[in-house]
Amino acid sequence: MNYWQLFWSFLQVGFFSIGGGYAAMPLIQTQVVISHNWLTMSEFTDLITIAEMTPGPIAVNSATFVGTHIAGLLGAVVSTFGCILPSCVIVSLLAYYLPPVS
Amino acid sequence: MKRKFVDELHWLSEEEMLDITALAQSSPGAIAVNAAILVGWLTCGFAGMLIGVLGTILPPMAILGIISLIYEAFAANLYVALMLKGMQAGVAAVIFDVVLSLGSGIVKQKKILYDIIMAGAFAAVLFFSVNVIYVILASALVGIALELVHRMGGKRQ
Repeated sequence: MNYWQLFWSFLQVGFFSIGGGYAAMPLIQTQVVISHNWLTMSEFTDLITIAEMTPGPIAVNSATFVGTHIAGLLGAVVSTFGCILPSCVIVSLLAYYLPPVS
Repeated sequence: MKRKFVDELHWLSEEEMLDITALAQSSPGAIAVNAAILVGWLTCGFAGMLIGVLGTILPPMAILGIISLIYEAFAANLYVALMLKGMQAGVAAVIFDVVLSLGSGIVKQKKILYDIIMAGAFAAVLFFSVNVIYVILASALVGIALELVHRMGGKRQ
């Protein structure tokens, strides 16, 4: 059940974070701190600090961190997959139908 | 990214890179992941897309996975805790800077409607704790509706 919740939460983060990592922060906070109590607010601020300091998109960093924290390696994979799935579907459709001028 | 793909590897032309950047920024999701999908697709098709995405997410997954595993011991350490506190102040400043430049970008457009959307969204989140998803959806709908009304008004004149 945890896996499904992780997937669904980060799917919403991935789908609504338009405009990069900073836009994703309040979405992640809503899912992770407010809705599910997966992290405390102080753990969340640590997470944002760590995510800022390490390479990679903040949403992916957070998904991996929270996934591992809640449900280990499989949790990390499931939440990261949820987080990038909307990108993969939407952007590949765009790439397919609107090929940039080459 | 531009230096690597355009100047070094010659996988893409300058214009393709510009298109990719614009598409990656305006689509939902992480910009780096979106760009990886587009670069992968343009250079090697579907397989390129998968490899590109994997390449983008594996390093952060490995790093954050390890940090998450050792986080409790890590954050309990006095020096690490102090370091995190200091870095938090720095990160808060960086985020505040982003907010200022994004916000002043909106104000500089001198369109009162966008100022209202911004103020309304801010109030909804801060004072009424509305779910951010609804705020984004509502802002998008209001933006589309106002622009359509504006265009119809323009046609009538």
